[in-house]
Amino acid sequence: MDRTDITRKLRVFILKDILNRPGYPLAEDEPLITGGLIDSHALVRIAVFVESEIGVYIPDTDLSAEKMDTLRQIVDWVMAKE
Amino acid sequence: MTIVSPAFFGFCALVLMLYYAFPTRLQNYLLLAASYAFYLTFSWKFPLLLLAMTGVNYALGPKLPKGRLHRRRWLVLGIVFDLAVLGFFKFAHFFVPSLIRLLSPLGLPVEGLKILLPVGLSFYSLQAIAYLVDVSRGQAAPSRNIVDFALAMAYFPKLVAGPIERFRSFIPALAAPRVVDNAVLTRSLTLLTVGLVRKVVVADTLLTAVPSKLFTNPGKFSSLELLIWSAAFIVGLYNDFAGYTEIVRGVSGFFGIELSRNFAFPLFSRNFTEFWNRWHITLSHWLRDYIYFPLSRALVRRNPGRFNLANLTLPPILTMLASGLWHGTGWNFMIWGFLMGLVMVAEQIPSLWRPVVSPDRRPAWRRYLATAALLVGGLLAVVIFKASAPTALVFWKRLLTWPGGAFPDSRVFLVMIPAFWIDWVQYRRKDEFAFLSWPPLARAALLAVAALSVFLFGRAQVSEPFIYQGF
Repeated sequence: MDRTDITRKLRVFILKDILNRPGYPLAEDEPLITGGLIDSHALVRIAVFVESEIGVYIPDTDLSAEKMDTLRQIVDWVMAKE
Repeated sequence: MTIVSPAFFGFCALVLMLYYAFPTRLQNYLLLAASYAFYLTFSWKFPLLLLAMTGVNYALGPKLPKGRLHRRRWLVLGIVFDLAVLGFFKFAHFFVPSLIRLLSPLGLPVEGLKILLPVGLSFYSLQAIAYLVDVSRGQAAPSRNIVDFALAMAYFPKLVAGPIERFRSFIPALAAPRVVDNAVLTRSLTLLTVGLVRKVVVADTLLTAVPSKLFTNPGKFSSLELLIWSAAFIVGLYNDFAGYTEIVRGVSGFFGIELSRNFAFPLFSRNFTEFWNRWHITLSHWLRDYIYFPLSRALVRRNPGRFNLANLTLPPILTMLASGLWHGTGWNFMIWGFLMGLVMVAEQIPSLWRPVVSPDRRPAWRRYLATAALLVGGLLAVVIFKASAPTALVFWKRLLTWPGGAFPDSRVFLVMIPAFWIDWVQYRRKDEFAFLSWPPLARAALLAVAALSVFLFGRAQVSEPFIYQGF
């Protein structure tokens, strides 16, 4: 799976299943955790989604604002591990 | 030796002088010896326990990386050992006084039963558990240097009440060359100054002014008094712990060792979920990484549906129950943890179907209202944190009565002003070093006012021991 596919999959999941705003123009650098858009529960759901749909395991200690605050950071992390 | 005392600052000055006189390769030996000497000032028994826990956890580290025989067994053994030590002293601290009360009238000897909760145990045991788990997950290398490992456990600025450091980054930092330049010294001095103002000017003043019977006999007070004094207690508690953390981070900075931040303007949070990411951050993150995330992930894997009741309720409630148990073994702490967990569950519910909007983009009135609601919730929650369940009920019922009684001393409000002002300046810039961007003259004036205030308030009252030292 290339970067575009991973970004698209994650964006759809976050907008539809986490933010309940399918039409929201989420920028790749928009802060999700520090911006108050997602909480720890949503972060876990994203991690499990990445695990089941992309096949990459994100350790608990990496589920943090320092490493997963934006869509770009999540995609970068997944690309680095894939 | 208490942290805000001439003895402590004299001790730090002596260790600093020796530290910079020592060759670099011996500095960690010196800090380790100083840390144990510092711990000895509390009781000669405490260092023995710390030494035993250090030895056991250090010995277990190399048995845990992936591929090692029986590594899961060793991991469980290590966690059970650390929790057993913590649990024994915590429960002994709770149950033994009752046992002594029971046995004393019978004329039975009770002296040997008196067990002190070792200062700092609640903090360094969590660090040890995190180390074992991280090594077993492959996220940290097992330490091969007993001095660095023992220093990570015992390092005196964080020994008494944290911050709870993660050894996967802290041990490498102890082994790395240290830079103490002008920027580091300026930041350390800023932390030390702000910490002293918080502790000596704000916390000590408020905590000594709060009536001692506030949380034991609330029937004596009017609703207005209960409201104002519990607000004063919360501001005092916050500045006590935040002040402590800033002082020890400042002291540690002079040695070139950075300690983690523990508070990020929690009183400006807009809900409790945000609050717990801003208050006692290193504990909140420990609970999140080692209890909330593993539990939540296991449940979501089993059933990824967003409306699953177990997924939504169990992780926050069990995590906050663990937080309650960590703070104390009384029933009130369990009730407090359960209520906090329930509040966090309730905060998730709207996001299940309503579009999620960043709090920063909400109208200003909604943000202020949310912060006001959080503060009221905090006032109600602190009651069960401090009082037994029946007394807390009396307290809450009393709050609903018609306000009356004497208005507390106006000095209580005056000392709250610098507390909120410091937070406001930092919050607006989202920077705890916001003061450093001021012009030099303004900074010098601020430093002079802070130093004078600490001196005058420090002379006028006895310094209260740090509250979190008791956990």
